[in-house]
Amino acid sequence: MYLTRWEERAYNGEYGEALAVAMKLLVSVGEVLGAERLIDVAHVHVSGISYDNIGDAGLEFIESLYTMGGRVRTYSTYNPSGTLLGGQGSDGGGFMEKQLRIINALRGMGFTESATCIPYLVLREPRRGEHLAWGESSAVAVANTLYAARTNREAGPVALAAALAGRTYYWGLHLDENRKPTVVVKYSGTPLDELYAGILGYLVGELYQGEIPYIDAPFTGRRSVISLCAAAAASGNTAMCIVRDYSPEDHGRPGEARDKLALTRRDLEEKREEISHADISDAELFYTGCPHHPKSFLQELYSYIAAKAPHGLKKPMLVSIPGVDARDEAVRKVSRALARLGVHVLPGTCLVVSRFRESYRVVATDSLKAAFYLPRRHGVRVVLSTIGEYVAQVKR
Amino acid sequence: MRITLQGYVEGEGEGEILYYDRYLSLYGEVDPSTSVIKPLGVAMAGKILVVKGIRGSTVGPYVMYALYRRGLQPSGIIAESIDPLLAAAAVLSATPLASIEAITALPQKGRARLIVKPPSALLEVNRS
Repeated sequence: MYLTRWEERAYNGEYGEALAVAMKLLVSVGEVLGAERLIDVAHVHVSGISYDNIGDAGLEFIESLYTMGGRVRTYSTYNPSGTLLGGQGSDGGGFMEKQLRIINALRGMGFTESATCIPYLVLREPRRGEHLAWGESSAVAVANTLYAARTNREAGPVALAAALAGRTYYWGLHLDENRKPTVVVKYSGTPLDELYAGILGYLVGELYQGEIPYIDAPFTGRRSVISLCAAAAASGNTAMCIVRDYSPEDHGRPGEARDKLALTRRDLEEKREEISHADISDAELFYTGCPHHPKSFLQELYSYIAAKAPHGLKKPMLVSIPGVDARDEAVRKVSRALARLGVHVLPGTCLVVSRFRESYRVVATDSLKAAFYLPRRHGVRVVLSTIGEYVAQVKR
Repeated sequence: MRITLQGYVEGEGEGEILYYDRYLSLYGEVDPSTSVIKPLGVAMAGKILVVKGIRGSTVGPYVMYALYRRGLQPSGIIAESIDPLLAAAAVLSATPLASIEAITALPQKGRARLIVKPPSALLEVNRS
């Protein structure tokens, strides 16, 4: 790989041990993939900062870069952690202490307070054509699909290396020629809400590994497209879609495609049945916010539940929001009001990367990403449901 | 039986072939404390993992790194698709990595030795 003089010195350790480790990792991964050089990035977003996910090995990897003197060289943010941001611990056994060590190492290296998987909505909006190094699979797909920014699916440790180096390997979706749709998925039916857009994404991810799908379908809004992206990035390795009417890089259906697929509501209903492993009446809680909901969602949710279930819910609902909003007075106020109705807000974390789910066996959710990981990672049974269906089931 | 492959991460490894004809999410589908691929119920430690590719979370390479720290990483990996997550997982775990156009061309069992010297690699399989 070609390196500039500065990069060569950094690689050889002339600017410190942490940067040398970071450069060696970036160059090694880049060379494996066939990259010819590195490229500056405007924003790094790292995944893999929940102690529940990465354990002692990951903690020591992150902490070692910090103790070696690592400092970020570009705007850098991080994913949800395993605990409520600045809040209560979720269990004993040193979990909280180790999670805080990870957060403190990131802060020490110059990361911006974040604890969210939607950096594009609450921290910094990506610009069209700019280069990023993001390591949160849902955010990667959203950045490429909805903002026309350019990032590969960076592994958590590689994104961390990119933060310290301020650059990543120039390969894959950073290049024009790799950003064209390769397969076409046509859905005919009513506009897809968050749940059904997620089901479509889940199918697309499973069917089209390594492809860039052109999605010709109606959606109820951008949140539904985010749900599609998150699901496809979980059930598959989708890093980018071109979505009709939503993607800045939409130039119409491609004339040539490796495959074409036509789907109807019935296909999505069948997939919903396949993914659900319980009945809504068995659900012990409802979970929404994977990816995180922006804080504005809380007021909408409060208005909805106050109207549909003024006496509250018999079973709880959990909502994840960005950690950066934890101290917002309006968020605290609406969170207290929601809690009185049985809805609990989790700032800066989520059900997948924390240990909040440990006492539950059946979870209802409108998140296909959560529906993919909760059974696999935690042995939880899931049932797919909209918020409205759950509220109707459990209102007092 | 000797099969020529494309090589990506240099090294040599030996072990039983563990064949998984799907895309694998290292996060969620692999137990980071035992290396067991949950859908198969079989550990990949010390095996030559043959897999279509990697899917799912970008946290996955941390799982492979954790396995490496415990000495539970596979002896080698052969995949159809080499993506940033698989590249990072192999580099972080010092696991030889090779690819082949279709893994269906490979035997699904037997003891094998994988020798990777990029850009090529060699798989020697003893079926007995």
